[in-house]
Amino acid sequence: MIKMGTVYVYHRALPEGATPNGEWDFRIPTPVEGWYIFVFEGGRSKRVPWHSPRSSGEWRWAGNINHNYSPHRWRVEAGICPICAHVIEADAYKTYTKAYNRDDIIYTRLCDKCRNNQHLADFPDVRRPLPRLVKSALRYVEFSDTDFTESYKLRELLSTREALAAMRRACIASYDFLQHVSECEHAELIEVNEKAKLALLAIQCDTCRRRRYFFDTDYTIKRLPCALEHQIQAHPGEKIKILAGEDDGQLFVHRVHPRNSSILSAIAWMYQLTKAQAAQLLPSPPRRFRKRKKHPRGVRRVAHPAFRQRVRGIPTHPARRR
Amino acid sequence: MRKILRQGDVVLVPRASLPEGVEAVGDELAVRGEGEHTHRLPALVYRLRGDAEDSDEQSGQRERVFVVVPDALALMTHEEHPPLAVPRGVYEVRQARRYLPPSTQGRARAWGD
Repeated sequence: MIKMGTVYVYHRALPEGATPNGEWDFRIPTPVEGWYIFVFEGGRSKRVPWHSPRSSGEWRWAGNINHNYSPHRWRVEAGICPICAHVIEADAYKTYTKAYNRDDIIYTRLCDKCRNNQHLADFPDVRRPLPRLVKSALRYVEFSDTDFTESYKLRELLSTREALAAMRRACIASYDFLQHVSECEHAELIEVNEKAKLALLAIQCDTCRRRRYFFDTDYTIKRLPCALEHQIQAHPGEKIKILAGEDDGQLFVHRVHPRNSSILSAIAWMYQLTKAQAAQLLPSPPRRFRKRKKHPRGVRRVAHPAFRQRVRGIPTHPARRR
Repeated sequence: MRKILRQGDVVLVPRASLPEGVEAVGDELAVRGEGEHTHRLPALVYRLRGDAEDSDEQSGQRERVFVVVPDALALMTHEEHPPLAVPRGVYEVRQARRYLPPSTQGRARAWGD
């Protein structure tokens, strides 16, 4: 069973050795090589539209958008920098999308500051300082107990105005979405996984079943086409969770080796399998995402009747075939 | 051809036969996963101790675990996962590992560690 309507928000890891109760010493080396990523219900990474960020330092569009994205489109007016969690304003996108006369296309990229600092060039082993906004957010979020696994505590946590405000400032999560979760009786915080030193909020809302969400600057919940599910990459050193159609609908990819950036190689590394074996653990993508075979010259696979008659001598009209 | 089976962070890779030099361990496989619960499979468990040179450089794994399912079908159980039907055969048990950056431990660890 594939779980639907689930959003995973990853935010900054707890500093190594820090105690959640007291002041955190941010001078302690922190496992900050992870990114801020938003992971949605996922599938294969085969059609990841972006180039690997490690080579270029930024997210880049991989090809012709019309070819890559014809069936599914989505919209966002700003992105969230995966490093510092700043909101990237929409100007950069607007120019791009207007050029294509498509105002419903999004893609994520780094903010100017992070891009210029070439954080990703040092990825993944460099220890970046925690972004200021995230620091402030984390200070606001007072974890009362080390046991994060109890969802009611998280619900308490998320319902505090300070926490919400801090998270909003840090762009870690959507205010409205969290508000929605805190008010919706069907919403349930599924898991917060502390073991990987990444606080994971897995939120599933029965009322929002069969929808996928994305946060934008308006802090509204937008429906996300399922195309994005198939474009999630497993980032090195990051923990992601893929919802795939296998046994219990969950397939975790924990912190993976930096070399393994695709989901397939991440799973292969994680389970010490070959990629072919790892592929067995992933479900087949929906039919609409499968690659369609094309003729190398782009001609139709079935010849036009006139062509058949002219070249092969097969009469087009049924009466003439006799 | 038998497929790879997975339940949570435990993977069963089908093998044609047991390798040489294995020693019997018990008649139930119990692998502690990420959480507090344990994956359990009623099967003959064998262990193959390897040399340090054979160990995986990332995981540092020096021991391989094999299971033989003698019955037509055995159920692998776990509190947080649905039961997994394991057909008869020989399997190698793999457990998910996680990457720890060199700045911390420098080696990958299985979740049960």
